[in-house]
Amino acid sequence: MKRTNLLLGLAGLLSLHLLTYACSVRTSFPKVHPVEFEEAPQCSYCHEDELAALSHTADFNVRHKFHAAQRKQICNLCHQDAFCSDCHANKEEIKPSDKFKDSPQRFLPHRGDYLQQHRIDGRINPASCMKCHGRNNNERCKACHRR
Amino acid sequence: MRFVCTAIVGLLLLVMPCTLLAVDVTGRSSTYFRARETIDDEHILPLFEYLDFRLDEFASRDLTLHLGGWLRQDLSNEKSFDNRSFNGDLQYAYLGYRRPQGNTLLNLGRVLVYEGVASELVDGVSFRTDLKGGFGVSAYGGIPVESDFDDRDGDSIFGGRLFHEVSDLYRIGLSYLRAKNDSSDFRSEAGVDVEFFPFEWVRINGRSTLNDETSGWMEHSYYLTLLPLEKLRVSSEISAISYEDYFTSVSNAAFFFDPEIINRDEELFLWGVQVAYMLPFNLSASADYKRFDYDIEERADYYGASVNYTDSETTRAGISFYRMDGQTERRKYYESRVYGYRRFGKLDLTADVFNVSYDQKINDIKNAYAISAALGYGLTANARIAADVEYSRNPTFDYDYRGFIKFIYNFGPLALMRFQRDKTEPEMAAVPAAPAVAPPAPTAPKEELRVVEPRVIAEAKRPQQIVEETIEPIAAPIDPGAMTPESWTAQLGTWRERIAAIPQDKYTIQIEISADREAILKDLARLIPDYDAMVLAYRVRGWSAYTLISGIYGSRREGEHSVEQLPAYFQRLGPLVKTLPTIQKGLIDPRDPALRERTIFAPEPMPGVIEKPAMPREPVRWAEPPAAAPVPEPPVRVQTPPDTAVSKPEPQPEPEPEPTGPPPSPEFILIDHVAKLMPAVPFPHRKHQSIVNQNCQVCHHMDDVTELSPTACSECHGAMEGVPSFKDAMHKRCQGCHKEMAGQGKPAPVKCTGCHVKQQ
Repeated sequence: MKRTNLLLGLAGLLSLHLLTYACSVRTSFPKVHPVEFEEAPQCSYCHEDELAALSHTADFNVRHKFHAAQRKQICNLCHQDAFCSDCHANKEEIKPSDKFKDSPQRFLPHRGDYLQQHRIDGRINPASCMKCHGRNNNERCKACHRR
Repeated sequence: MRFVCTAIVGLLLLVMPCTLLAVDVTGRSSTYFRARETIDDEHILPLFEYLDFRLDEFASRDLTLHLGGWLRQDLSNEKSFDNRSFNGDLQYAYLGYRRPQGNTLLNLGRVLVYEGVASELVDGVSFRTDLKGGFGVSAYGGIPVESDFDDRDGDSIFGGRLFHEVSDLYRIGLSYLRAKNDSSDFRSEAGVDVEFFPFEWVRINGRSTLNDETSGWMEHSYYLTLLPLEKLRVSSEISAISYEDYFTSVSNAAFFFDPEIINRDEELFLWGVQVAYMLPFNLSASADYKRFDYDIEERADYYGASVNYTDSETTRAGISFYRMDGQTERRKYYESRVYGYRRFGKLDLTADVFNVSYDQKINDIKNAYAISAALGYGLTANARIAADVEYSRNPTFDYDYRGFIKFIYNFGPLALMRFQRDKTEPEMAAVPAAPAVAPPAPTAPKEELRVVEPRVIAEAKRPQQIVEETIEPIAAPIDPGAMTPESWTAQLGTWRERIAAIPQDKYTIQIEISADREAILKDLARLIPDYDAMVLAYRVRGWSAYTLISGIYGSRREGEHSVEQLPAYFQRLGPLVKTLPTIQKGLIDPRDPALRERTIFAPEPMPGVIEKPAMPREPVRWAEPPAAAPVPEPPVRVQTPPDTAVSKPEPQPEPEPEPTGPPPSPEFILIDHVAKLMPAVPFPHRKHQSIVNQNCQVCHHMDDVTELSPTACSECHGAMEGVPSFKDAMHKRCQGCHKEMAGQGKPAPVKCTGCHVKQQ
């Protein structure tokens, strides 16, 4: 067992060593986007390359998951992790649409009386609930949904 | 939790001494107070404090500390949530290392991981980096942070993603995740994610996820975006979800599914389309259709449209109307919403009405609606207070009032959006050692060129230069002020030969490029007492000019450090570190007549923009012929030791004072980056300064208002990854304003040749 651990450790160190040679030398993205936005940015206004796809158009709430899963570091140019946690929280007691009533243009889930509405949405597409409430942020669900 | 707290406290203690040196703290404090009634008729008054911040560049410029969390205290006797009067959560807390190259990130602590199939919160470590050849890799491991459905003993998670990308064409990744709960297998998922740009107007995003535990596909989800016209966007979504494979590893009993309500063998196939169009007057409209097809249940359709108005400065409004045609009468409803937002100076008002009209009454209610109004006020640039009230009526509440007050405070210079340039970590001592290359000793200096400072002080002001012993000093012993045309040309030839002979792996600082002989001679004279400097006859894509360079360095980093130590006057000229081959490539014969015939970048005036042709310039003043010139005194260099700083035998004239006042903005800037394809653009810089009322940040958007040396556009655009190309930036910025001005009837060139003026 000790020999196995030693070999694994050596293999890990060797991998790290090789990784340093394999790392790209391209300049990293800047830490923060050089232009500040008050509104949802239309990246295509300045970027004519693939970054134009990150424009926060009306459908961005549907497709943001694809971009985040591939290049979260680009999201972090403008958004702190707190921005993600507003919705994708481990534990949260205020629904996003209550926190930001003064930003009505934002897509925020659970507007209005969601207690009744979740019965419909949950039947139509339960997978839409799963990402946020499957393993996290489900204390409120447990008040009714017990094993 | 204990592990995370211990780790964070330990890290803080470890780095705290360093954090006291120079730390950029950026963050936000959000205080919320709400008042509402629960379904059990209890009045609750919870007070929340959300705090998130980030410490930049502590201990090392590449290290950051991120922390976010919240606490809640009930102010009434009623427990507002989870049967607790006091509650809280650490949302994330990690120490991050960011390498300046390769987008390498290493995070340690409570980290958010979004990598392929993973969308997790992990107490542990995460790493990602770009590799050579377009490849990249990420990995993470630790203990998953999930709702407390059991203890965390024996819980673990690890995974990673390998990806490849070809810029502007595709990005594809393979990812894997494995998690254990109580030392038993809990999740095992693999997936492929893709982003594909087959054409400029077509984008495809998607991913497929395989449940390794059930050997079935959990989900296929793909999204197609078409941009056939500038203002038209058509997007389409397709998803397929297998409930049996998707809902296997959950801690929420809602997803265990009562067979009488949801069949676990169900499979959902969803597809939809959205058409959005930008209308005039800041309006946009979109129409949506979604179909939910099931293997077992009946299908459902969701469709509707919305119109939105956005004036980014002050006003937003929207109206939407949708219809859900569910499988049963209880799942059929109309959903409508109207909202408006208006800002009046520091005050803003929001009104929002949201209504759901059920086909079949629920609890004797047909219309469930919520009406809210919010009032916000910007106390300072960083502080804001807002309050809202909501009245609703729905199947759960006959009527319901809710109140919410929030106070937001952003701390940090520019709150959450601060641009921080990658600064080079000085590796040298505070007082640099004497340069390997001795400064030149002018043979016939004019009075203002005399060195009056003690040598020690003069050396301390010089940048450190790393020059191999075999390389000669680049500055020759000359007096720029005593030049004649003949000696000038000869000197240029000498410098040209010397610079051409230096090995190509070196760097130099390019102080400026100018075709104005007088200006470049003056600047050379300012530099040459204390710095190695030379002027070269130089051609930049078709334009003949002079370039003033200083120093030879072994690495770019050393050059950048020396740039920081240049006097303020030269800092304002925007010096750049250049590789020697770049300079050597542009060398031309100093006898090139173009150098003498043209003294300024003075193009033909642009119609409507330049009212006066070119700039009046005085003729270049050459020194008198050598025979008639007075023989000046040789330079006096005081060789006093540091402790006897001022012991000088003869009175010395005062040195030329450092220019003060506003930055010496250039009258014209020649934009010749695309000169191979299009004529260069002689940009009337000062003219544009007056057009934007001296608000430099209209273009120099990265600089502080007080910045004395604005960052040149080309320092980022065309030089950094992820930043719009130089061409894009110029076109967007110039054309945007020009079109706007033209629309207002003001003279502004909007055609290509309006700016790309042919060289005379």
